[in-house]
Amino acid sequence: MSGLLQKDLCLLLQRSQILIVLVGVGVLMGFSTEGSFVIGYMTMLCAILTIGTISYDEFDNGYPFLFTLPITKKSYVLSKYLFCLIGSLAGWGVSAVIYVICSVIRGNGVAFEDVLDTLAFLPVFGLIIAVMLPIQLKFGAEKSRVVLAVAAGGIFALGYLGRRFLPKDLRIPAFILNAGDAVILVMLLAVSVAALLISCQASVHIMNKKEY
Amino acid sequence: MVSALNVTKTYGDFTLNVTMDIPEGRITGLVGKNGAGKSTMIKVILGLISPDGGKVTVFGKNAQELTPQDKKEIGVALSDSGFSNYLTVSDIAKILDKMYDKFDRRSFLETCRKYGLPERKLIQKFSTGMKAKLRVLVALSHDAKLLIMDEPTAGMDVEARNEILDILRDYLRQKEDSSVVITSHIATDLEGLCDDIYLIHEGKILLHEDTDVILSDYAILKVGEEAFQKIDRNYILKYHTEPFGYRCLTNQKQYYLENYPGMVIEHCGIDDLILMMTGGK
Repeated sequence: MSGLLQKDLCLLLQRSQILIVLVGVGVLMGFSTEGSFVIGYMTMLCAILTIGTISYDEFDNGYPFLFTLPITKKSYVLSKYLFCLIGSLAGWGVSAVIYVICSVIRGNGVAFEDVLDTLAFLPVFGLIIAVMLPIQLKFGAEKSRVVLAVAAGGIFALGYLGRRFLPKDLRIPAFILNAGDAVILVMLLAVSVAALLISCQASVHIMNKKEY
Repeated sequence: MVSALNVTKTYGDFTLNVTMDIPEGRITGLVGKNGAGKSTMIKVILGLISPDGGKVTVFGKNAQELTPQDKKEIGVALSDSGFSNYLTVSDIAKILDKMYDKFDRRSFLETCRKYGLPERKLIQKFSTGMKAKLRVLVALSHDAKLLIMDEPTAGMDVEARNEILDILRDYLRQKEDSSVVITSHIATDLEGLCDDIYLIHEGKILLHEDTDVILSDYAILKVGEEAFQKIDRNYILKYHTEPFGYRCLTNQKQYYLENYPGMVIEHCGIDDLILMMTGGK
Protein backbone atom coordinates (compact mmCIF):
# COMPACT_ATOMS: atom_id res chain seq x y z
CA MET A 1 0.00 0.00 0.00
CA SER A 2 2.84 2.42 0.78
CA GLY A 3 4.15 1.95 -2.79
CA LEU A 4 0.74 2.88 -4.20
CA LEU A 5 0.52 5.97 -1.98
CA GLN A 6 4.04 6.89 -3.10
CA LYS A 7 2.96 6.55 -6.75
CA ASP A 8 -0.07 8.79 -6.20
CA LEU A 9 2.05 11.33 -4.35
CA CYS A 10 4.59 11.39 -7.21
CA LEU A 11 1.75 11.85 -9.73
CA LEU A 12 0.27 14.65 -7.64
CA LEU A 13 3.63 16.38 -7.26
CA GLN A 14 4.00 16.40 -11.03
CA ARG A 15 1.25 18.99 -10.80
CA SER A 16 2.99 20.96 -8.04
CA GLN A 17 2.53 24.22 -9.97
CA ILE A 18 -1.23 23.74 -9.75
CA LEU A 19 -0.92 23.12 -6.01
CA ILE A 20 1.10 26.33 -5.54
CA VAL A 21 -1.45 28.34 -7.57
CA LEU A 22 -4.22 26.69 -5.53
CA VAL A 23 -2.73 27.81 -2.22
CA GLY A 24 -2.03 31.30 -3.65
CA VAL A 25 -5.65 31.69 -4.81
CA GLY A 26 -6.76 30.34 -1.41
CA VAL A 27 -4.78 33.04 0.41
CA LEU A 28 -6.17 35.75 -1.90
CA MET A 29 -9.72 34.47 -1.39
CA GLY A 30 -9.23 34.27 2.35
CA PHE A 31 -8.40 37.98 2.43
CA SER A 32 -10.89 39.15 -0.16
CA THR A 33 -14.03 37.19 0.79
CA GLU A 34 -15.98 36.98 4.01
CA GLY A 35 -17.11 33.60 5.32
CA SER A 36 -15.80 30.08 4.86
CA PHE A 37 -16.06 29.81 1.05
CA VAL A 38 -12.28 29.39 0.79
CA ILE A 39 -12.49 26.12 2.78
CA GLY A 40 -15.07 24.58 0.44
CA TYR A 41 -13.15 25.79 -2.61
CA MET A 42 -9.76 24.43 -1.60
CA THR A 43 -11.03 21.15 -0.16
CA MET A 44 -13.03 20.48 -3.32
CA LEU A 45 -10.04 21.17 -5.57
CA CYS A 46 -7.81 18.90 -3.46
CA ALA A 47 -10.45 16.14 -3.62
CA ILE A 48 -10.63 16.51 -7.42
CA LEU A 49 -6.82 16.48 -7.77
CA THR A 50 -6.44 13.33 -5.66
CA ILE A 51 -9.33 11.51 -7.35
CA GLY A 52 -7.70 12.51 -10.65
CA THR A 53 -4.80 10.12 -9.96
CA ILE A 54 -7.17 7.32 -11.06
CA SER A 55 -7.14 8.84 -14.56
CA TYR A 56 -3.34 8.64 -14.59
CA ASP A 57 -3.48 4.95 -13.62
CA GLU A 58 -6.02 4.26 -16.33
CA PHE A 59 -4.34 6.40 -19.00
CA ASP A 60 -2.29 4.56 -21.68
CA ASN A 61 -3.65 1.18 -20.55
CA GLY A 62 -1.79 1.39 -17.23
CA TYR A 63 -3.95 -1.02 -15.23
CA PRO A 64 -2.61 -4.36 -16.58
CA PHE A 65 0.94 -3.53 -15.48
CA LEU A 66 -0.24 -1.97 -12.22
CA PHE A 67 -1.90 -5.22 -11.18
CA THR A 68 1.24 -7.25 -11.88
CA LEU A 69 2.91 -5.30 -9.05
CA PRO A 70 2.80 -6.83 -5.55
CA ILE A 71 -0.62 -5.39 -4.70
CA THR A 72 -4.21 -6.63 -4.67
CA LYS A 73 -7.24 -4.92 -6.12
CA LYS A 74 -8.47 -4.40 -2.57
CA SER A 75 -5.25 -2.68 -1.49
CA TYR A 76 -5.44 -0.52 -4.64
CA VAL A 77 -8.96 0.62 -3.74
CA LEU A 78 -8.03 1.21 -0.09
CA SER A 79 -5.00 3.25 -1.13
CA LYS A 80 -7.24 5.43 -3.34
CA TYR A 81 -9.69 6.12 -0.50
CA LEU A 82 -6.83 6.82 1.89
CA PHE A 83 -5.06 9.12 -0.57
CA CYS A 84 -8.24 11.05 -1.40
CA LEU A 85 -9.15 11.42 2.28
CA ILE A 86 -5.63 12.52 3.25
CA GLY A 87 -5.49 14.92 0.27
CA SER A 88 -8.89 16.44 1.02
CA LEU A 89 -8.05 16.67 4.72
CA ALA A 90 -4.80 18.45 3.86
CA GLY A 91 -6.70 20.88 1.62
CA TRP A 92 -9.26 21.41 4.38
CA GLY A 93 -6.50 21.91 7.00
CA VAL A 94 -4.54 24.45 4.94
CA SER A 95 -7.68 26.38 3.97
CA ALA A 96 -8.97 26.32 7.58
CA VAL A 97 -5.68 27.83 8.74
CA ILE A 98 -5.94 30.51 5.99
CA TYR A 99 -9.55 31.20 7.06
CA VAL A 100 -8.61 31.54 10.76
CA ILE A 101 -5.57 33.74 10.06
CA CYS A 102 -7.62 36.04 7.80
CA SER A 103 -10.40 36.28 10.41
CA VAL A 104 -7.90 37.19 13.12
CA ILE A 105 -6.17 39.77 10.89
CA ARG A 106 -9.55 41.34 10.11
CA GLY A 107 -10.15 41.55 13.86
CA ASN A 108 -13.23 39.29 13.72
CA GLY A 109 -11.71 36.56 15.89
CA VAL A 110 -12.89 32.94 15.65
CA ALA A 111 -16.21 32.07 17.29
CA PHE A 112 -17.42 28.55 18.18
CA GLU A 113 -19.92 28.75 15.26
CA ASP A 114 -17.00 29.42 12.90
CA VAL A 115 -15.27 26.27 14.12
CA LEU A 116 -18.48 24.28 13.51
CA ASP A 117 -18.81 25.89 10.06
CA THR A 118 -15.29 24.82 9.26
CA LEU A 119 -15.78 21.27 10.52
CA ALA A 120 -19.05 20.95 8.60
CA PHE A 121 -17.08 20.66 5.36
CA LEU A 122 -15.55 17.35 6.45
CA PRO A 123 -18.66 15.11 6.22
CA VAL A 124 -19.67 16.84 2.98
CA PHE A 125 -16.38 15.96 1.34
CA GLY A 126 -16.51 12.47 2.82
CA LEU A 127 -19.83 12.04 0.99
CA ILE A 128 -18.47 13.53 -2.24
CA ILE A 129 -15.53 11.07 -2.19
CA ALA A 130 -17.90 8.20 -1.33
CA VAL A 131 -19.94 8.98 -4.47
CA MET A 132 -17.16 9.93 -6.89
CA LEU A 133 -14.61 7.15 -6.32
CA PRO A 134 -16.77 4.13 -7.21
CA ILE A 135 -18.15 5.98 -10.25
CA GLN A 136 -14.63 6.84 -11.39
CA LEU A 137 -13.43 3.25 -10.87
CA LYS A 138 -16.48 1.74 -12.57
CA PHE A 139 -16.73 3.98 -15.62
CA GLY A 140 -13.22 5.39 -16.03
CA ALA A 141 -12.20 9.02 -16.37
CA GLU A 142 -14.15 9.89 -19.52
CA LYS A 143 -17.47 8.16 -18.97
CA SER A 144 -17.59 9.03 -15.26
CA ARG A 145 -17.99 12.73 -16.14
CA VAL A 146 -21.17 11.91 -18.04
CA VAL A 147 -22.36 9.58 -15.26
CA LEU A 148 -21.72 12.26 -12.61
CA ALA A 149 -23.61 14.84 -14.66
CA VAL A 150 -26.54 12.43 -15.06
CA ALA A 151 -26.40 11.58 -11.33
CA ALA A 152 -26.42 15.27 -10.41
CA GLY A 153 -29.41 15.80 -12.74
CA GLY A 154 -31.13 12.79 -11.14
CA ILE A 155 -30.62 14.19 -7.63
CA PHE A 156 -31.99 17.57 -8.75
CA ALA A 157 -35.02 15.87 -10.33
CA LEU A 158 -35.64 13.83 -7.17
CA GLY A 159 -35.47 17.00 -5.08
CA TYR A 160 -37.92 18.74 -7.40
CA LEU A 161 -40.34 15.80 -7.41
CA GLY A 162 -40.04 15.46 -3.64
CA ARG A 163 -40.89 19.11 -3.15
CA ARG A 164 -43.82 18.86 -5.52
CA PHE A 165 -45.40 15.58 -4.43
CA LEU A 166 -44.45 15.00 -0.79
CA PRO A 167 -47.02 16.21 1.78
CA LYS A 168 -46.52 19.86 2.68
CA ASP A 169 -46.81 19.13 6.38
CA LEU A 170 -43.93 16.61 6.30
CA ARG A 171 -41.96 17.43 9.37
CA ILE A 172 -38.33 16.92 10.24
CA PRO A 173 -38.13 14.65 13.35
CA ALA A 174 -38.12 16.64 16.55
CA PHE A 175 -34.84 15.15 17.80
CA ILE A 176 -33.07 16.62 14.79
CA LEU A 177 -34.80 20.02 15.09
CA ASN A 178 -33.96 20.20 18.77
CA ALA A 179 -30.39 18.97 18.43
CA GLY A 180 -27.58 21.45 18.68
CA ASP A 181 -25.24 22.20 15.75
CA ALA A 182 -22.50 20.09 17.29
CA VAL A 183 -24.78 17.04 17.56
CA ILE A 184 -25.92 17.44 13.95
CA LEU A 185 -22.28 17.67 12.91
CA VAL A 186 -21.47 14.42 14.72
CA MET A 187 -24.49 12.77 13.07
CA LEU A 188 -23.34 13.98 9.65
CA LEU A 189 -19.82 12.69 10.30
CA ALA A 190 -21.27 9.28 11.24
CA VAL A 191 -23.34 9.23 8.02
CA SER A 192 -20.26 10.22 6.04
CA VAL A 193 -18.10 7.47 7.57
CA ALA A 194 -20.84 4.89 6.93
CA ALA A 195 -21.15 6.09 3.31
CA LEU A 196 -17.37 5.83 2.85
CA LEU A 197 -17.33 2.27 4.22
CA ILE A 198 -20.20 1.18 1.95
CA SER A 199 -18.62 2.98 -1.01
CA CYS A 200 -15.25 1.32 -0.36
CA GLN A 201 -16.88 -2.13 -0.31
CA ALA A 202 -18.67 -1.33 -3.57
CA SER A 203 -15.40 -0.14 -5.16
CA VAL A 204 -13.58 -3.35 -4.15
CA HIS A 205 -16.44 -5.32 -5.74
CA ILE A 206 -16.22 -3.21 -8.92
CA MET A 207 -12.46 -3.72 -9.23
CA ASN A 208 -12.64 -7.46 -8.50
CA LYS A 209 -15.07 -7.90 -11.39
CA LYS A 210 -12.81 -6.07 -13.86
CA GLU A 211 -10.35 -7.93 -16.07
CA TYR A 212 -7.37 -6.45 -17.81
CA MET B 1 7.19 -23.00 -12.06
CA VAL B 2 4.28 -22.20 -14.39
CA SER B 3 1.80 -24.78 -15.53
CA ALA B 4 -1.27 -24.35 -17.71
CA LEU B 5 -3.54 -27.32 -18.19
CA ASN B 6 -6.29 -27.17 -20.84
CA VAL B 7 -6.69 -23.44 -20.31
CA THR B 8 -9.52 -21.94 -22.32
CA LYS B 9 -10.62 -18.35 -22.77
CA THR B 10 -13.07 -17.12 -25.36
CA TYR B 11 -13.44 -13.60 -26.77
CA GLY B 12 -16.08 -13.55 -29.50
CA ASP B 13 -14.72 -15.69 -32.37
CA PHE B 14 -11.35 -16.23 -30.72
CA THR B 15 -10.76 -19.13 -28.36
CA LEU B 16 -7.54 -19.76 -26.49
CA ASN B 17 -6.97 -23.43 -25.70
CA VAL B 18 -3.51 -24.07 -24.31
CA THR B 19 -1.56 -26.59 -22.26
CA MET B 20 2.01 -25.67 -21.39
CA ASP B 21 4.62 -26.20 -18.72
CA ILE B 22 7.52 -23.94 -17.79
CA PRO B 23 9.95 -25.65 -15.41
CA GLU B 24 12.42 -23.90 -13.13
CA GLY B 25 15.54 -22.47 -14.78
CA ARG B 26 14.06 -22.62 -18.28
CA ILE B 27 13.74 -19.80 -20.80
CA THR B 28 10.61 -20.44 -22.77
CA GLY B 29 9.61 -18.52 -25.86
CA LEU B 30 6.04 -18.11 -26.96
CA VAL B 31 5.95 -17.26 -30.65
CA GLY B 32 3.20 -16.70 -33.13
CA LYS B 33 1.66 -14.12 -35.42
CA ASN B 34 -0.09 -11.00 -34.14
CA GLY B 35 -3.41 -11.97 -32.58
CA ALA B 36 -2.36 -15.61 -32.09
CA GLY B 37 -3.10 -15.50 -28.35
CA LYS B 38 0.36 -14.87 -26.88
CA SER B 39 -0.61 -11.82 -24.84
CA THR B 40 -3.85 -13.44 -23.70
CA MET B 41 -1.85 -16.41 -22.43
CA ILE B 42 0.54 -14.06 -20.61
CA LYS B 43 -2.40 -12.29 -18.97
CA VAL B 44 -3.87 -15.63 -17.88
CA ILE B 45 -0.52 -16.62 -16.31
CA LEU B 46 -0.36 -13.26 -14.50
CA GLY B 47 -3.92 -13.67 -13.21
CA LEU B 48 -5.02 -10.50 -15.00
CA ILE B 49 -7.79 -12.42 -16.71
CA SER B 50 -9.50 -15.53 -15.43
CA PRO B 51 -9.70 -18.54 -17.75
CA ASP B 52 -13.13 -19.92 -18.71
CA GLY B 53 -11.80 -23.44 -18.15
CA GLY B 54 -8.68 -25.35 -17.17
CA LYS B 55 -6.12 -24.49 -14.55
CA VAL B 56 -3.09 -22.20 -14.42
CA THR B 57 -0.65 -22.50 -11.56
CA VAL B 58 2.33 -20.27 -10.78
CA PHE B 59 4.71 -21.40 -8.00
CA GLY B 60 2.16 -24.22 -7.45
CA LYS B 61 -0.66 -21.76 -6.70
CA ASN B 62 -3.70 -20.85 -8.74
CA ALA B 63 -2.71 -17.78 -10.81
CA GLN B 64 -5.83 -15.95 -9.61
CA GLU B 65 -4.82 -16.43 -5.99
CA LEU B 66 -1.27 -15.09 -6.08
CA THR B 67 -0.53 -12.97 -3.01
CA PRO B 68 1.53 -9.75 -3.09
CA GLN B 69 4.37 -11.81 -1.56
CA ASP B 70 4.21 -14.24 -4.52
CA LYS B 71 4.10 -11.34 -6.96
CA LYS B 72 7.35 -9.97 -5.53
CA GLU B 73 9.02 -13.00 -7.14
CA ILE B 74 7.69 -12.12 -10.60
CA GLY B 75 9.23 -9.50 -12.88
CA VAL B 76 6.91 -8.33 -15.64
CA ALA B 77 7.41 -6.29 -18.80
CA LEU B 78 4.29 -5.81 -20.93
CA SER B 79 4.42 -4.35 -24.42
CA ASP B 80 1.44 -2.05 -24.09
CA SER B 81 1.33 -1.23 -20.41
CA GLY B 82 3.71 0.17 -17.82
CA PHE B 83 4.12 2.85 -15.21
CA SER B 84 2.27 6.10 -15.88
CA ASN B 85 3.95 8.28 -18.50
CA TYR B 86 3.66 11.18 -16.05
CA LEU B 87 6.29 9.68 -13.74
CA THR B 88 10.07 9.88 -13.94
CA VAL B 89 12.72 7.18 -13.44
CA SER B 90 13.41 8.71 -10.05
CA ASP B 91 9.71 8.42 -9.09
CA ILE B 92 9.64 4.79 -10.24
CA ALA B 93 12.69 4.01 -8.11
CA LYS B 94 10.90 5.43 -5.04
CA ILE B 95 7.78 3.38 -5.78
CA LEU B 96 9.67 0.12 -6.39
CA ASP B 97 11.70 0.72 -3.24
CA LYS B 98 8.48 0.67 -1.24
CA MET B 99 7.03 -2.33 -3.07
CA TYR B 100 9.90 -4.85 -3.31
CA ASP B 101 12.12 -6.08 -0.45
CA LYS B 102 14.97 -6.98 -2.81
CA PHE B 103 14.92 -3.78 -4.83
CA ASP B 104 18.26 -1.95 -4.84
CA ARG B 105 17.52 1.67 -5.63
CA ARG B 106 21.10 2.77 -6.19
CA SER B 107 21.85 -0.12 -8.53
CA PHE B 108 18.60 0.47 -10.45
CA LEU B 109 19.37 4.16 -10.97
CA GLU B 110 22.94 3.32 -12.01
CA THR B 111 21.70 0.77 -14.56
CA CYS B 112 19.19 3.29 -15.91
CA ARG B 113 21.99 5.84 -16.33
CA LYS B 114 24.15 3.18 -18.03
CA TYR B 115 21.42 2.58 -20.60
CA GLY B 116 20.84 6.29 -21.19
CA LEU B 117 17.60 6.75 -19.27
CA PRO B 118 17.54 10.19 -17.64
CA GLU B 119 16.47 10.22 -14.00
CA ARG B 120 14.34 13.34 -13.96
CA LYS B 121 12.74 13.34 -17.42
CA LEU B 122 9.06 12.38 -17.74
CA ILE B 123 8.62 8.92 -19.32
CA GLN B 124 6.17 10.63 -21.67
CA LYS B 125 9.16 12.28 -23.34
CA PHE B 126 11.12 9.01 -23.77
CA SER B 127 11.50 7.41 -27.19
CA THR B 128 9.87 4.01 -27.88
CA GLY B 129 13.21 2.27 -27.33
CA MET B 130 13.84 4.08 -24.05
CA LYS B 131 10.38 3.15 -22.75
CA ALA B 132 10.96 -0.50 -23.68
CA LYS B 133 14.36 -0.50 -21.96
CA LEU B 134 12.82 0.97 -18.83
CA ARG B 135 10.07 -1.68 -18.79
CA VAL B 136 12.69 -4.44 -18.99
CA LEU B 137 14.93 -2.84 -16.34
CA VAL B 138 11.95 -2.52 -13.99
CA ALA B 139 11.16 -6.21 -14.47
CA LEU B 140 14.78 -7.14 -13.69
CA SER B 141 15.15 -4.76 -10.76
CA HIS B 142 13.99 -6.90 -7.84
CA ASP B 143 15.72 -10.24 -8.24
CA ALA B 144 12.60 -12.06 -9.49
CA LYS B 145 12.51 -15.86 -9.79
CA LEU B 146 10.11 -15.69 -12.72
CA LEU B 147 10.32 -13.18 -15.55
CA ILE B 148 7.39 -12.64 -17.86
CA MET B 149 8.13 -10.53 -20.90
CA ASP B 150 5.42 -9.80 -23.42
CA GLU B 151 6.93 -8.51 -26.66
CA PRO B 152 9.77 -6.63 -24.95
CA THR B 153 11.26 -5.69 -28.33
CA ALA B 154 8.06 -4.74 -30.18
CA GLY B 155 8.25 -1.74 -32.49
CA MET B 156 12.00 -1.25 -32.08
CA ASP B 157 14.92 -1.03 -34.49
CA VAL B 158 17.58 -3.76 -34.64
CA GLU B 159 20.07 -1.92 -32.46
CA ALA B 160 17.58 -1.22 -29.65
CA ARG B 161 16.30 -4.82 -29.89
CA ASN B 162 19.79 -6.21 -29.50
CA GLU B 163 20.45 -3.91 -26.56
CA ILE B 164 17.34 -5.19 -24.76
CA LEU B 165 18.26 -8.80 -25.50
CA ASP B 166 21.76 -8.12 -24.14
CA ILE B 167 20.27 -6.72 -20.92
CA LEU B 168 18.24 -9.90 -20.58
CA ARG B 169 21.22 -12.16 -21.34
CA ASP B 170 23.35 -10.36 -18.73
CA TYR B 171 20.65 -10.84 -16.12
CA LEU B 172 20.15 -14.51 -16.94
CA ARG B 173 23.91 -15.13 -16.81
CA GLN B 174 23.86 -13.89 -13.22
CA LYS B 175 20.63 -15.65 -12.23
CA GLU B 176 20.73 -19.01 -13.92
CA ASP B 177 17.89 -20.47 -11.85
CA SER B 178 15.37 -17.89 -13.10
CA SER B 179 12.56 -19.00 -15.32
CA VAL B 180 11.53 -16.78 -18.19
CA VAL B 181 8.48 -16.67 -20.39
CA ILE B 182 9.02 -14.38 -23.33
CA THR B 183 6.77 -13.70 -26.28
CA SER B 184 7.69 -12.19 -29.58
CA HIS B 185 6.46 -12.14 -33.13
CA ILE B 186 10.08 -11.46 -34.15
CA ALA B 187 11.27 -14.99 -33.61
CA THR B 188 14.93 -14.40 -34.47
CA ASP B 189 15.10 -12.45 -31.20
CA LEU B 190 14.40 -15.67 -29.36
CA GLU B 191 16.69 -18.07 -31.25
CA GLY B 192 19.77 -17.20 -29.22
CA LEU B 193 17.90 -16.82 -25.95
CA CYS B 194 15.28 -19.52 -25.42
CA ASP B 195 15.69 -23.14 -24.33
CA ASP B 196 12.38 -24.12 -25.84
CA ILE B 197 9.70 -22.63 -28.03
CA TYR B 198 5.91 -22.89 -28.03
CA LEU B 199 4.36 -21.94 -31.34
CA ILE B 200 0.86 -20.62 -30.84
CA HIS B 201 -1.61 -20.02 -33.65
CA GLU B 202 -5.29 -19.05 -33.45
CA GLY B 203 -5.25 -19.76 -29.73
CA LYS B 204 -3.75 -23.25 -29.98
CA ILE B 205 -0.26 -24.64 -29.47
CA LEU B 206 0.88 -25.95 -32.86
CA LEU B 207 4.34 -27.00 -31.77
CA HIS B 208 6.51 -27.30 -28.70
CA GLU B 209 10.18 -28.00 -29.30
CA ASP B 210 13.64 -27.32 -27.88
CA THR B 211 15.27 -24.41 -29.73
CA ASP B 212 18.42 -26.48 -30.36
CA VAL B 213 16.33 -29.20 -32.00
CA ILE B 214 14.55 -26.67 -34.21
CA LEU B 215 17.84 -25.16 -35.32
CA SER B 216 19.59 -28.51 -35.89
CA ASP B 217 16.88 -30.93 -37.07
CA TYR B 218 14.31 -28.76 -38.81
CA ALA B 219 14.93 -27.69 -42.39
CA ILE B 220 13.26 -26.24 -45.45
CA LEU B 221 13.34 -28.47 -48.54
CA LYS B 222 12.94 -26.79 -51.90
CA VAL B 223 11.73 -29.26 -54.51
CA GLY B 224 10.21 -29.17 -57.97
CA GLU B 225 6.86 -30.75 -58.88
CA GLU B 226 8.40 -34.01 -60.11
CA ALA B 227 10.76 -34.43 -57.14
CA PHE B 228 7.92 -33.66 -54.73
CA GLN B 229 5.94 -36.62 -56.05
CA LYS B 230 8.95 -38.92 -55.59
CA ILE B 231 10.34 -37.98 -52.18
CA ASP B 232 9.46 -39.69 -48.93
CA ARG B 233 6.84 -37.37 -47.39
CA ASN B 234 6.62 -39.19 -44.05
CA TYR B 235 8.85 -36.58 -42.43
CA ILE B 236 7.36 -33.54 -44.07
CA LEU B 237 5.32 -31.60 -41.54
CA LYS B 238 3.94 -28.92 -43.85
CA TYR B 239 4.45 -27.68 -47.40
CA HIS B 240 3.77 -24.54 -49.41
CA THR B 241 3.25 -24.27 -53.12
CA GLU B 242 5.78 -21.88 -54.67
CA PRO B 243 6.37 -20.72 -58.28
CA PHE B 244 9.32 -23.15 -58.56
CA GLY B 245 7.49 -26.12 -56.99
CA TYR B 246 7.21 -26.83 -53.29
CA ARG B 247 8.72 -25.51 -50.10
CA CYS B 248 8.53 -28.22 -47.42
CA LEU B 249 9.17 -28.21 -43.68
CA THR B 250 10.79 -31.26 -42.14
CA ASN B 251 12.00 -32.13 -38.67
CA GLN B 252 14.37 -34.80 -40.11
CA LYS B 253 16.97 -32.70 -41.88
CA GLN B 254 19.65 -35.42 -41.66
CA TYR B 255 17.40 -38.01 -43.33
CA TYR B 256 16.94 -35.82 -46.40
CA LEU B 257 20.61 -34.77 -46.45
CA GLU B 258 21.66 -38.44 -46.55
CA ASN B 259 19.01 -39.78 -48.92
CA TYR B 260 18.52 -36.90 -51.35
CA PRO B 261 22.03 -35.49 -52.03
CA GLY B 262 20.93 -33.16 -54.85
CA MET B 263 18.05 -31.58 -52.99
CA VAL B 264 18.13 -27.90 -51.92
CA ILE B 265 17.96 -28.08 -48.11
CA GLU B 266 18.00 -24.80 -46.22
CA HIS B 267 18.42 -23.94 -42.57
CA CYS B 268 15.09 -23.42 -40.80
CA GLY B 269 14.86 -20.50 -38.42
CA ILE B 270 11.97 -19.90 -36.08
CA ASP B 271 10.49 -17.32 -38.47
CA ASP B 272 10.41 -19.99 -41.23
CA LEU B 273 8.85 -22.38 -38.75
CA ILE B 274 6.07 -19.92 -37.93
CA LEU B 275 5.41 -19.21 -41.61
CA MET B 276 5.34 -22.88 -42.56
CA MET B 277 3.38 -24.17 -39.58
CA THR B 278 0.74 -21.45 -39.70
CA GLY B 279 0.33 -21.18 -43.44
CA GLY B 280 1.26 -24.49 -45.02
CA LYS B 281 -0.81 -27.55 -45.96
